[in-house]
Amino acid sequence: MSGAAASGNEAARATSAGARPSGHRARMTRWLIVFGLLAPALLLYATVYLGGMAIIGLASFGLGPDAESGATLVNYREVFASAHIQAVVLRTLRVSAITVIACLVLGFPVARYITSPDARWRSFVVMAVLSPLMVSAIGRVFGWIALFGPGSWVAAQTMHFFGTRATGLLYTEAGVVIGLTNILLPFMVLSIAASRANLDESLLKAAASLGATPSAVFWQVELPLNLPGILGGVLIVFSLSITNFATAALLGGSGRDVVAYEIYSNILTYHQPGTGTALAILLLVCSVAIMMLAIWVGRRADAMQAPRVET
Amino acid sequence: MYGVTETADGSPPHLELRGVCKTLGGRTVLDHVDLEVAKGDLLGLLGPSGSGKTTMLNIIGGFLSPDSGTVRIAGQDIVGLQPHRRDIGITFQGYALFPHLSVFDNVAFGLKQRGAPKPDIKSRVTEMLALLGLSGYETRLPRALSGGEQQRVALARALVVRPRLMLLDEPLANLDAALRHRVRFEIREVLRRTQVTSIFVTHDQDEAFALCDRVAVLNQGRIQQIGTPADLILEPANAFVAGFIGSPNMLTGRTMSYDEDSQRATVDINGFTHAVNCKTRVAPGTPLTIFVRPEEVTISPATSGGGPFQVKDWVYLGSGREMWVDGPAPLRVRLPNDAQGYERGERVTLSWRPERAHAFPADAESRATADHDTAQVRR
Repeated sequence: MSGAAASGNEAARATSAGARPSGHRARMTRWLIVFGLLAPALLLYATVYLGGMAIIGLASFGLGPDAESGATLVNYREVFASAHIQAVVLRTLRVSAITVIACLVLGFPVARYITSPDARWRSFVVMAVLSPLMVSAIGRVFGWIALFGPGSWVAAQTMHFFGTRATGLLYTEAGVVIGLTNILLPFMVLSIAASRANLDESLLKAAASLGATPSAVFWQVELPLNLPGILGGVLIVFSLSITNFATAALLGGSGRDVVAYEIYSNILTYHQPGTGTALAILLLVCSVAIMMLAIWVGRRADAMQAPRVET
Repeated sequence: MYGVTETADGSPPHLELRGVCKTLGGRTVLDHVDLEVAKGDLLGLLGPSGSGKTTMLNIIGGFLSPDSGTVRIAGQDIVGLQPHRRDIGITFQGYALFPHLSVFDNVAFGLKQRGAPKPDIKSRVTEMLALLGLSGYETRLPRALSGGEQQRVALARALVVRPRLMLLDEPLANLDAALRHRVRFEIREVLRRTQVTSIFVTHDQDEAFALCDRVAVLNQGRIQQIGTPADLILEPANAFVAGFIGSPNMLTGRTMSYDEDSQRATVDINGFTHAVNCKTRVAPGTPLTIFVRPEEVTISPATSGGGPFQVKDWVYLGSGREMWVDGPAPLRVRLPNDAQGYERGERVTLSWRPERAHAFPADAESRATADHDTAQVRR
């Protein structure tokens, strides 16, 4: 009797073992196809992007084709010791933080409007919000210079209003924040709008029917459910503004430069690639960390917002 | 006492709609709706999709305002009152549980808005969860609940604040058939125990009949009839109600004679003559639309020479057998499972009790309505 049971088990094992390799092979084939289709893009990234970053990374540690000494941390030590760089980093963080707040305050109502069911001007507003992304950075910036620069109408009004000898907004931190807010607003709006798209209108009605005032509905239901989109937008805008170059370089002017501009001038103007490359690597690490946080927040949001309605 | 209409003793209705009209996007969605619900009553609001049920719910709940007419609760006109001041509990079709809050916090939401003291909230929420069999679910999030459990949380959340009125929007629509029967029973029990005045919105007549003391039939923005399930089945007020309730056969015929005393008409349906019930006085020759439900038709073997009808096909439907019969008009006939069988192609005669076949004059307007509505019913 035990023998019969044993042989039965063996038979079962044999069939399952026989079934496994074919399933395994099918999975391998599927993987090869997927990988084959991804390969060109991966190759491009591996050579152009990772290759470039690898050279920068090696250079930051004193390594590479025209290295004079062995591996060293001197570049990083210099970055952390320099008072000038600390000031630049602080300024970058301050400009980015203000930009994030400006984008949030301006962007939330816009996202709320374009996701409301009876928005009559939705496509127009979406186009208007996205339009800064369709103009080349240089063209856009020269427009701003004409608008904000000395002798411009805006400069005259500012002078008139504040009664100071202000030369307009050009070459001020405020100018950089306005410029950054202009180009980064679409990212905030789209991030919040995406999280509102699966916001169930009946949740707001349910809250009101339970006695929640319009402001209680907003703070206790609407905002918590939008929080993932808001956080995602905050992280994206923040990481794009700490790495931004063109806007800050052209609107900020000398003495008001940010990290990206500092990298540029160290490497290309002052021919001091050591500090520049170390700064570039640190900036990369920061923005990658922020992006990963944004992706993680997005995943959590999806998991929370998908209600299970079936039985 | 629960469930008995008390307007008879002179007390005002708890909920009262008078001449409510609403036009949305150029379409008249509600057309002079009058409705009264007595305190503690459970009224079904039954109608095909697009009949105006949801608009009515939104007007009572305060999410839409009527173009004209009044809505009163306990004598107070609530038109213009914001939703959060109305004290009306609503359960939504998709349950609308707050996904970021636990079961406890969902149920406690309304009490917190009212500034109830913490220990009070705890005891009332706990009590309500117990009533709905949800004890032990306090810390779970809505997404970790089954559809039936979510429905019960939604009910608990709306009932715990002891609203003046409950609106239940298609509460069973998202449940599978087996669960639907159980939840239907649970809802009836809870509403009975809490004695809250309720309106139950549905497109499903079986649900409306199973749950409600009285049912209002709505079509094209008008209340067609309000009555008990028996009233609607036995005494339909018009062609729409007769055609909508119980998926009847619809036949067209011509009046041969009319007897005013018994309110009976004899009709000629393409050569087949039979007596039918007709409340309106009709002259001979008047075209009539006749509704007769499949279970009211009796079938018998043809006498010698062959009957006017012929059995085309039949199917088992669980509760009985449905025969498809053709002849002067195509008809569906419902027989008990153990009834005498008929062969396909066999010739038969058909009959019914005259009071169970409801005829209405088929003037151009009502015929158009009837055609449109039966088309909707079939869909």
